[in-house]
Amino acid sequence: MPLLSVVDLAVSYGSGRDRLRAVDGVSLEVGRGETVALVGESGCGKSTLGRAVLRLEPVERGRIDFDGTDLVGLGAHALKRLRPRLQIVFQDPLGSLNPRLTIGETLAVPLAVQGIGRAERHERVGAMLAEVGLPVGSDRLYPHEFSGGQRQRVAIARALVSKPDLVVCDEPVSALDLSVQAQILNLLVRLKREFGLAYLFVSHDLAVVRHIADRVLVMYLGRVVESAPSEALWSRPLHPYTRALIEAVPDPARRRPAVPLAGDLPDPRNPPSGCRFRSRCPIATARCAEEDPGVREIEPGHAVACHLAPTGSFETTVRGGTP
Amino acid sequence: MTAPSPSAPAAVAETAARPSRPTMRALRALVGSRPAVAGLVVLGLVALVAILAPFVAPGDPLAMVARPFVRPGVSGAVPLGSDALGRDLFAGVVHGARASLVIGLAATVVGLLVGTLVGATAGYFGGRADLVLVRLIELFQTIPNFVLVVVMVAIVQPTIVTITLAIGIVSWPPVARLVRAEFRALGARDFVLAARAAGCGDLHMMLREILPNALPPVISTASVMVASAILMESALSFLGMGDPNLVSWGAMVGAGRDSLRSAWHVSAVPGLAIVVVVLALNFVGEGLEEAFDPRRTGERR
Repeated sequence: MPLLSVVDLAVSYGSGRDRLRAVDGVSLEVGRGETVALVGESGCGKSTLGRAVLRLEPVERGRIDFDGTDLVGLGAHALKRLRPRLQIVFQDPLGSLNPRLTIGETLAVPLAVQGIGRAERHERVGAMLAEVGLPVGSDRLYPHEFSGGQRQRVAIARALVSKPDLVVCDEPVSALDLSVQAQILNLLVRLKREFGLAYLFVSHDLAVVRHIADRVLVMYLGRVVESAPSEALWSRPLHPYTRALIEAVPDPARRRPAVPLAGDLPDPRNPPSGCRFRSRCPIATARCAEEDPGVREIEPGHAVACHLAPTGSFETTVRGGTP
Repeated sequence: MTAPSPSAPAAVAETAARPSRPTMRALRALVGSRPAVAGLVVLGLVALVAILAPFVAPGDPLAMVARPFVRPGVSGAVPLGSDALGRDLFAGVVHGARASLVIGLAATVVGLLVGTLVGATAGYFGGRADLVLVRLIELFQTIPNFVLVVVMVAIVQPTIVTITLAIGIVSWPPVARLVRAEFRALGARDFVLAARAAGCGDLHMMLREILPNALPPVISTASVMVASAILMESALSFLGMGDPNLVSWGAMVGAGRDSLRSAWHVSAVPGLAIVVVVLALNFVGEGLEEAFDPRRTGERR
């Protein structure tokens, strides 16, 4: 049984004509010790999905089975007991730390909630800060006294201090300098091995995801359009959107510049009929406007939501379509 | 794999000995503002005089101690002159400071408590609670403040307690609006989400995560609230609706009103006291607002 199993999850805001379905029927699984990445443009619902898994967003329908318990139907008390096992690291490390608490106080909060005594709290906080590579004495400082990379180390320590099984990493390196990004990613990889963590890694940056993910889910307008093991996704992307994303990754070896995807993300309040990607798809046919392509498994572990995959015509259309 | 050895923050060594609480930094900024410091000095002196009133001006300030209408600077016994009944204006101003400061501060505390409670509840829980409480705030804001105070004091006996409560009751709505807005904005911040993900209860979220970050604008409002409470109490006493057993600046101004043409100093002396204290409070309020400005301290984004 996977550690986390999300089935047909939908998250929406507002009601009536203004209803915005940020996540619309997504299913995914994260195994113990596995890193699953969610990629897509801003506004595709990947961050919302990550937060919804922690029950930080209003769930409209669906199941979130965590270690055999459905979090959606869970009462406040039972949810609170499970909270230490599900944690989150946010994108902006300064915004995710309370400016009026010292680092030591911030890290003690998750432990205090569990009713852990002062002495043990202090010990575990100190050990965790050392684990993420912060100098002794950091616990007495305030967030503004650290650099961006160090703040993200603090945020990671806060997430891990309660000994979670699953950590949602919501764009954890996007706000950091490139040189610091690598440090934080390496830290995440090391901590994952050390503590046997599973990550749900939300990112718009495919280069980052390639470095860290076992499996990748590509999201577009609140839906998963392709999911595959990391290597398969890179070597044989099946969905035209995935191809466009991969082409957009800067690559000095490539001779010709990437062809950017035409247009902007459509209004999620009013998504296109049929396939949601058809309004920007270079190979869309008449069928795409009428029929919603469900997610089909093309080969074990590799699923895609596209009418045209993986036929031969698909291959040639894409090659011929781009000059 | 890079070893997790980021260069230690340059600040660690020094700041470990000198913890720079965000509040301390704001206070340092306040001390840097000249009008605010002047205001603080004036308020400190007034408070000292009010506390030491029995020693600064011994005896009953309502006793008749001199001829009526002695002008200021004429008699050494009554340096600021005397009023129509021959009462010492200096003693009146000194003892009146007690009433003004006590009512001003106490009414502000009442207003802050009610306003923060209502605003925090509305802003944190949102939804239906918010809807109802915002209507309540609006209801209170549509009634002219001073009229409401007059009505409340007219119904019950005008004592220092009822006057304080009445002023407190009309002064909470702006606080509630402010606190509600702060709670709404801060409630959506990542550090609050992180606390929720840690399993914190509503009380912890409100008191420990959100409230300390919502307080700065409330604190700078508070000093202006004290000023307006003092003005309201003065106006009330001026109209003769204050506590009759209490020496109050407003009552003194009101008593001098009949002889304004012949002996203007009877009204002017306590009136000046009101102006000075209210001005000082406004200076401090402005200084606080600047000191807490996030663009200055750079701690909130």
